[in-house]
Amino acid sequence: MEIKIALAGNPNSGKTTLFNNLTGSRQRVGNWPGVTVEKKEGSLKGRNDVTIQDLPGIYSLSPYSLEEVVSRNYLVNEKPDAILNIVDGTNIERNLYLTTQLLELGIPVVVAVNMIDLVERNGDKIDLDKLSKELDCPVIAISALKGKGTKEAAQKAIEVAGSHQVAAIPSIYDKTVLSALSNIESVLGSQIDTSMARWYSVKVFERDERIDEILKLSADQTSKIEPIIKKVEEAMDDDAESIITSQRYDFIGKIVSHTVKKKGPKHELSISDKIDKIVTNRILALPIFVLIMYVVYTIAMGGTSISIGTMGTDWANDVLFGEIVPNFFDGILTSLQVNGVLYSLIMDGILGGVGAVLGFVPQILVLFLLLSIMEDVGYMSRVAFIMDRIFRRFGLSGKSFIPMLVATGCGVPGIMASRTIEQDRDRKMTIMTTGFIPCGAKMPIIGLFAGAVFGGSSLVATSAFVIGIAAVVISGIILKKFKSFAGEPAPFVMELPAYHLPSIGNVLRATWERGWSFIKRAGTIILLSTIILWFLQGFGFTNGQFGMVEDNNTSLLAAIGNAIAWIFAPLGWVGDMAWKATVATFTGLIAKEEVVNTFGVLYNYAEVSEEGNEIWTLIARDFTPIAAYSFMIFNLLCAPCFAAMGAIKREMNNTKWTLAAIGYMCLFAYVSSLIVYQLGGLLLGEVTFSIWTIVALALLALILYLLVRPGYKPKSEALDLKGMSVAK
Amino acid sequence: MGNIIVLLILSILVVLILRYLWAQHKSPKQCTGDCSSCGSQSCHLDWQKIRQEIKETK
Repeated sequence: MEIKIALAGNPNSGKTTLFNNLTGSRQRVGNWPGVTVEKKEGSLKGRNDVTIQDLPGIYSLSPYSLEEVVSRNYLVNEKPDAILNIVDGTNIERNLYLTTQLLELGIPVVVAVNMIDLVERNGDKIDLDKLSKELDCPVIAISALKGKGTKEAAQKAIEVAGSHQVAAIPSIYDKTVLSALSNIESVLGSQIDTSMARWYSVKVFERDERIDEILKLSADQTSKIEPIIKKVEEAMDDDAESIITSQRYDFIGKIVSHTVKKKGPKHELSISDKIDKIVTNRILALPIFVLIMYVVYTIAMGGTSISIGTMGTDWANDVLFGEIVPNFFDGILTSLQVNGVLYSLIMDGILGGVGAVLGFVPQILVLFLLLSIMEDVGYMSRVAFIMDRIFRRFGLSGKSFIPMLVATGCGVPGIMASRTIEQDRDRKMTIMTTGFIPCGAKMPIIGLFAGAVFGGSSLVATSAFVIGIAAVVISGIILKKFKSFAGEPAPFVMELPAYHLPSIGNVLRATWERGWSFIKRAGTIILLSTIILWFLQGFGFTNGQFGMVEDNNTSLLAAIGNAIAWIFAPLGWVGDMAWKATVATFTGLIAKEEVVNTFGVLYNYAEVSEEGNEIWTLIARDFTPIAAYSFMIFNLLCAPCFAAMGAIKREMNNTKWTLAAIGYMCLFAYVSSLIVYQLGGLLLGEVTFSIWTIVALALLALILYLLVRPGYKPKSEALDLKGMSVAK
Repeated sequence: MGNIIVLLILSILVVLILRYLWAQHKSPKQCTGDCSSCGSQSCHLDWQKIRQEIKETK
């Protein structure tokens, strides 16, 4: 017979780590909310009849977030055979609140006190036997990260599930409340499952609307229950929900005082707290974050002696895809005596294009490695906290920043992650702005121009990230002033997990997963696009005759590009490079790496030099610094790739909003690029004063106006004196 | 002969890639519980309904 064991506990208590340990699974372990938002199951290692269910973290069974609804619905409706309640031993008081609720569900519970190694390291002591007596259920010490005690905990859960050993409900409440609960249970009678009688009676006492709906209480029942609740509220001079909460915490306080002995004084700061005093400091937090990102981008994409990402990319471009691979294929193709057209397709097209993209793999891997380390160490959750302070000023919460952090890898899961935002307007705004954050696919664009035009400066990559954040903030302020988005942000509660050394396995796995996705895309979509691009830029009409062209400025692709390149003339995309830049931007809709692939095909059409950096030299010749920066900004901020657009469509679930989101991004990108090129170019002396300078100034003035204008105020915030009357 | 071999290999490669992309598009990914890693076309959870439930609870 199958046994189902649910892992329930607070966020960051170690449920997913334990789940991976027990099932051999490789689910992602993250440090911020939204990593696990749905239940997922796996079989216990060595026992196919035992299913382990990992649930999203919850603080209580009174749900105010999407994750809590998912967990609560599962526990109450699907009733697992046992609950393995993970409790963070270093935060036991807060974690036991959920435990007191789980014990009322009438399902066998085993409490696993996790992070016991940290508890011992801190010099604290938890008397597990006493705790077990107080809670009247088995309590096992575990360290999910180290795999200590996990098998014993699972075994205990199987035992209690098999014996249906339900704990007696601990004496949480005083006589007054107990009497009220007992009376409510009598009124509910056979309407409820007797094993869950306590849980239902507490929820009815708290006036939980969801439970009232589920039970469909009759008017007669309501008329009997309401006086019972009111009597207790009057006696205790408090509302029912607060009474229950307060008595739970009193009970927990009593247990903790008997069973937990702390080494240090109660309010001594831990090492994590000391680090956080600096890292989340009101003034220092943001500069520290920018500095850290600067160091990350320097190591990944800079031009310094510590820029190992760039060293790898230089080798990949100059040696691997500059000599080894081309020579290898050249040898094969020459020995097979293939004709010039096929030779060009493979050498100039496929190798030139795909090679240009794959050349950036070292930089991408180093970047993802560093971001994974930051995530695993626990710093990324601090970033969400830091950004919450900033975002709240313009009406979003830090929860909106989490999809953006995810989007640094790929925009598609970033957009998906927005579904955990409860408020629709905040969710829409998050979806619309997540695309501004440079994803992994946009990194080659940054890397290409940083290397070709800006001498490998890591400031380029850092500025791209800062521009992305600035675009989010500016968009947030502007959009929040419109009726569709106006309103207070949702509260954001998040635990900051203790800092710990990164787990090498987790970090390498996360890095490889993202990097492999990048490589797979290069070998599939980008390879296919290369063939089409090669054809379009290698063939055209010369003197009325269709055939291969020597100069791709006369190709089919050039004709298509030139037909629409005029749109981008104000952005500085002029001359021979205009159609190339235009075509590259449009192919970027397939996948952002396509921009680099397209340049690789277009600029590689000439002979590939032995040095392998022919492309960079040709790009530097065609793009002035300001035009290059304008191009980079446009591609960073404009509509995302088709996959991300698909994700937007699914999450918005509305065609109008989908088009609005994509249209907004394109417009923002165009205006930003225009302002940067026209005004930046004027200041640098690269651009002369023209009508477009006036347009750029006007647009800048418009943006400033939209930023400072008073926004729409919802009715509840606006006083309407006409309707008021004086009470007699 | 060499041209035919290369064309054949390229054609097989293109067909394999197209098949892979189509299979990815069609097959629903198994839910890993982690929305932020999900590239699935469809989610079996009705998030709108869950949001509605929260509004009613509040």
